[in-house]
Amino acid sequence: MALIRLWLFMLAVQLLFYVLLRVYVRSERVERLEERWDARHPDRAGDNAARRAFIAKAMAGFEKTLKARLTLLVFVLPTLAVLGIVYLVNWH
Amino acid sequence: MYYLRVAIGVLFGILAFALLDYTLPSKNTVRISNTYNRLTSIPPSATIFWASDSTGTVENASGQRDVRFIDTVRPGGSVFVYRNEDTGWVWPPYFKYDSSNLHAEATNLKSPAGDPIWVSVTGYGWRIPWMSTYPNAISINTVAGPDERPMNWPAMVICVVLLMLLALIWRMWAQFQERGLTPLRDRLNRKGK
Repeated sequence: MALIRLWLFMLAVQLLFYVLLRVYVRSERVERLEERWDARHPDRAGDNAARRAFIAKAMAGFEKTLKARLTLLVFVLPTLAVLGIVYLVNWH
Repeated sequence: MYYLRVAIGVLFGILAFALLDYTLPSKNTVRISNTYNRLTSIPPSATIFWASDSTGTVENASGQRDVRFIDTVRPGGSVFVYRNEDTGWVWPPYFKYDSSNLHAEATNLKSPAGDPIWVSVTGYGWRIPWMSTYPNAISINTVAGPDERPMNWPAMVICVVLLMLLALIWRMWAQFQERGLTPLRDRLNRKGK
């Protein structure tokens, strides 16, 4: 029972952190793309339709990038840490 | 207002430090002088310093619990008492359920003052005599002598991981402020005019 509660709690925290981390990584990437656009087109810098289209195009493949996939580690690392602690405390 | 904010900040800092000091593992070089079980009544004010109910602890009708204790003596001669309870899958996250094994190990390493076996006991918690709280022993390792103090690397690793997490959350918050809150505030200000 306690194990299920721990698992549910961990899942809830992981989901929340995953969503926040995803928003953060996306936001960083968008910011970098905006800067790149502004550097390339100093005459059309700032928020405009052309820049928005450029960013939408560049972000299309974002889900498949290594960085986006690495955020899934949020669901793996805590479980590994728990298993590591269980091993160190009870069998070491 | 300023002093109130400083006071709340200082209190929060003390609370965070106390929480870490209580929860992180610490190591003591000691000699085990006795191991035993004792029926213990746990005062309601100190329940958070004992194993939680869902870890397989059993209480009798009058609310007493059979708890394993490890009596130890420090190199200086002062005594230190550990309890030996499972933490199970509940807070703090040690996931310990080998209390019986640990107790057998402790009993095996029991030694008299004349012929001491020095061990390093890893545990967490505080010994507060007037509140009847005891640190919980996690593991026992033999050491060469009373002067040997093994490195407390688990606590260091946890601190580094926590700091890295804190830095990440800091960065995430800064990014949210820059890209989320500031543009929103600007837009609201423009609308207000």
